[in-house]
Amino acid sequence: MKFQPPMSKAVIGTAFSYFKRFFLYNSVMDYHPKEILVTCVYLACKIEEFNVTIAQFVANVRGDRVKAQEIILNNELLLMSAVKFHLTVHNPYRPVEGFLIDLKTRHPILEAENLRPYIDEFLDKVLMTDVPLMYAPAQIALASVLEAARKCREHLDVYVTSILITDEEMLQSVVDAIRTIRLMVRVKNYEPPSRDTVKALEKKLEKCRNQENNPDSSIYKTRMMEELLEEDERTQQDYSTTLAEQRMHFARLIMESKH
Amino acid sequence: MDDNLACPRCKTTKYRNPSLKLMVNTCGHALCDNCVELLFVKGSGACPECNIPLRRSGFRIQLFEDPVVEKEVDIRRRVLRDFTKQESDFPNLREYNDYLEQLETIIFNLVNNIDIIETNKQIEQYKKENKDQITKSRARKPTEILLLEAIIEEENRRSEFRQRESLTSAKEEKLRKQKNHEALIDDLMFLESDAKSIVESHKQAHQTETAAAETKSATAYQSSHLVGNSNLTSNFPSSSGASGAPAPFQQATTFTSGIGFGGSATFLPVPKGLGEVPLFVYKPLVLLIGGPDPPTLEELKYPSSSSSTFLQHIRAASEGEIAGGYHHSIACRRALQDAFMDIAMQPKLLKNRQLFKETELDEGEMVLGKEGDVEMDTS
Repeated sequence: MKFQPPMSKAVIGTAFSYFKRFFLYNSVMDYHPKEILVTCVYLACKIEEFNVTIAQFVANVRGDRVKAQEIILNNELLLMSAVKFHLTVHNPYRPVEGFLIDLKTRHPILEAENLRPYIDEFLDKVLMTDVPLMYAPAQIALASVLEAARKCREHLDVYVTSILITDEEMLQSVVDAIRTIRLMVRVKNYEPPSRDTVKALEKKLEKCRNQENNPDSSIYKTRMMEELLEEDERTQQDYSTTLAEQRMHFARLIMESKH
Repeated sequence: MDDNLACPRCKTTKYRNPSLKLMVNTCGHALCDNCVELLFVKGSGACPECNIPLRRSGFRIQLFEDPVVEKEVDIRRRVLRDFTKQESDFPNLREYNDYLEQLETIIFNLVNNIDIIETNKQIEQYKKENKDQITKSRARKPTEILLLEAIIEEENRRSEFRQRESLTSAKEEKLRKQKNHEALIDDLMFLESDAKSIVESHKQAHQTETAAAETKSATAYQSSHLVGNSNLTSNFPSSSGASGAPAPFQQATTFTSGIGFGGSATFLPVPKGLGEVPLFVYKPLVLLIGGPDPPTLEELKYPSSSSSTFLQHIRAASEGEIAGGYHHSIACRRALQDAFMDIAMQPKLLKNRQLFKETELDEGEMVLGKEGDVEMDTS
């Protein structure tokens, strides 16, 4: 999506995080991932202070814009509550900057700026995995720096072991974490699936999704109508009960005043 | 306010002199005082707008901007002088309300020029019926005036009291001074010690005495003040001064339903001794970093020769930003903190599972399956 000024990486990271957390607790068949996807991005823009009005946002969408707008706005609250209202996401981008500063100051032998493109690549891959759900952003950042160094054929082991961390125990846990992260990222298959597979999946989803949450379905519409009618009915009922109560009350008063 | 209105006759004079007052008469039309004089110079007068014959005494200084209101107030006052029945004159509430309604209808008719003849007849009839009562009530002063009189009386009493107080205290002061003086002279004559020290000690004693006397007189005045206050709003016995005066006017202090109002404000005493609460002790904030310690703000801002120059590698704050309170060391510290915090964190595993080992994995296998049980604390 093209935005002016260009969307910061933090927004993307946050949106991914919401998406993953949402589908930890909810099934894909209950809520269509495409709808949730746009809602995540919209919410992430808000949270990371990348202000986009709903109109601007929807302008980038192909197809029915009004419907998209409705979908996003209806799902926003749902998304927030599914994320348990933990809306602040700590992305690894700031720790990466911290490490680069530290490297430049305490290990100036290495040309830290060369690492940047590799770091970006690594972090993009990380977003596709489960790693942000499992590890602290500082760990992910360090893993990215080390991986980038490896690609540049540099050695940062000296930095890590002697300059960065001086405590033995700490070192061990850090090393474990880094190793696991790098493995997870390396192992995952990153090819986006082909169009055909996507289409086939979508068709399948249509057949087995929970129709109650599909705003296009007839079931949803009838349920909405029922709820509206129910409300009216309920208010009617309340009204008649209060009326009856009042009448009884007055009757009682009259009886008492007669005596 | 008066600039919008203009005297209907001389029009221009109004703007020139805002202190010019409008006089209103019974028909409701206004005239400035100059025009009133002019009108009655010729002997008889008629309102320039409605040509009703007027008397000079019929003119009153206009109190209200709206002439309609002025007219109504005038009529009301006139009518109420005759219709003076109180609630206590009626056997029940219904009849009193009927009387009031009749009164209001009369006033309304007179104000809006409806059935004037009819209404006047009603008034005459009422007057005839209640002649003696009207004469009696004319003699009696209206309620507001009575209340004001009572307040004035009370004030006079209080000021009298204060005067007496000040006189007596002045006398006392004089006596005391004299005594002190004599005592000083006696001391100087008979005591053996230094003259200066005697004078000093006397001066000090004198000062403490005056301070004590002042506080005493202040409290005495306050208590008398409070007493006076509460006396006004309740049935006071005629103990404070006017003995033999008739029972003064009693202001109402309660609504008929029993809820009280008015009266001096009395406050509950401050609760003493809320119990010993442990004193607040300041404990500085401890930041738990699961990793190496990042440099502190001081180290960043003022690097000594040993600690390195982190600040070089971060965008410097512009002058405007520094003036606003921001310094780039803050951003630097934030980045470094984020980089070091929780770097030694270990994910909490639910059961004693190990994270998968390298050797067990094949290429391309989805990693997700094996770690389904890992629980995450943060973010």
